[in-house]
Amino acid sequence: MSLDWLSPEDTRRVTAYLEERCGIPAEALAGLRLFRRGGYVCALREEAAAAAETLQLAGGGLRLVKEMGPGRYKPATRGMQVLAARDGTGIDLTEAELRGLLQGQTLSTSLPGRGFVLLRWEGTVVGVGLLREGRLVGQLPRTVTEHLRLGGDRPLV
Amino acid sequence: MSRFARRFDRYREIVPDYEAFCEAHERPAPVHLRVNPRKAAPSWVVDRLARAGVRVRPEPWYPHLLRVEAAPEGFAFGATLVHALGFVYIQSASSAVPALALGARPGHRVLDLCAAPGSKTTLLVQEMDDRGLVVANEPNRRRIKSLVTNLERMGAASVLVTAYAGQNFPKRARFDRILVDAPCSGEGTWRGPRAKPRRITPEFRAGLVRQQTGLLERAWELLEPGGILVYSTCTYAPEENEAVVAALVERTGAEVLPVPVDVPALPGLTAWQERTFSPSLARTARLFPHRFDSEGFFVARLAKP
Repeated sequence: MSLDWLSPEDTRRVTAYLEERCGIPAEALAGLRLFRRGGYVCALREEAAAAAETLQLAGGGLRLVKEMGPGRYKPATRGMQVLAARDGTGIDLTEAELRGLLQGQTLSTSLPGRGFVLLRWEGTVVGVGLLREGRLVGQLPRTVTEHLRLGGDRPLV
Repeated sequence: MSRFARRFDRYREIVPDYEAFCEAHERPAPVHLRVNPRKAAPSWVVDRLARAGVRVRPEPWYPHLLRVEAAPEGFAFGATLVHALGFVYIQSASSAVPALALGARPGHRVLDLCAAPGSKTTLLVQEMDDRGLVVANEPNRRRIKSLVTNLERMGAASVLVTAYAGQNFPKRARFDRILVDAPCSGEGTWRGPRAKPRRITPEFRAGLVRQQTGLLERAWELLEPGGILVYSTCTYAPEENEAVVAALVERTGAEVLPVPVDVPALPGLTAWQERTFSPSLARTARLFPHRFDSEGFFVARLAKP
């Protein structure tokens, strides 16, 4: 079953976006082939991409970005956690700030700029936020937040 | 007397220290968390857990696997951030053994024929540093959902998910490593007061054996010469374990290799009731909860000449 592979031009566009927006070097995507599925651009290793052509697939691939429109993207938490684990930009959150975002709160911030940003907690990527006019809104997937028990005053774990 | 003493009576002769074995089934298996080093360093996870009052100890035979030694009452590991973000996978210690026994390495082409919910698949990805190919196959549409969710949670770019009936997996594919963690009667998972042992009729068992045999036969066809196949179950029944493997060994000349994971396993059986198996079946591994505090398992590692 053939996947909807990205053209070289679209691949370059996504790579440039991740480098510019999230600080992920292009080399981090070496050996990956990108394809579209369900509104997302996902990545497969070359070996998996080759096998994908010969099997009937029910899933697979690592989500990198959501396509918000032609040439407009939003980083996907799952992919960013892997690709930006060691390299990459982002906003460092305190535990209280992360707890607030997980509870659906919007944070006031003096950070400049606007658009999607990576959220880090104690050095580790925990998700994506949207920076807009002095506000930071959490964009963590529902699959992350729906089963969480934040435990009141208990340390976040 | 343990409620398992009668239930497991047919194994009395093949389980050493039978009373302790039954008593072990009365206790819940310890919780283990496997750290995903592609997202976080084990020390990072251990520190976060410690702050919340959770004390863990790395298993010496696989330090990424943390045994929970103490936790606040009612602590729900499945409702933590480290779980939701895929920093850890809740996995029984014994279920890590077949995946580690496979010896998957970066660049290998690997098939996990019965993959849901993905504990072993994600461990294989981890061992391969997400480089190469892992095909995670699961024919059950409901179970495939949990498989996909877990794969996404842990983060992998080397995995393809397929939904073939395992016995009919397309023969055009070939693999260096294949894991057949076959559907089974699941006796090894009956641990603790909440365990609800099901009645296993001979007919039900015979159906499982047919399925297990079909899966193993097809997997063998899909394995490259020189490749390694691991067959495992979480049950004690020799009919579902040594007998299934012995039939393949007799028919194909498959070589039974030792299981290279340093856990206290007992050797597989070379005889059961009126049947005798190849002496090489003693190289397979039986995990019993009173010797290795986890779920009961059977693991066979086979090489294709």
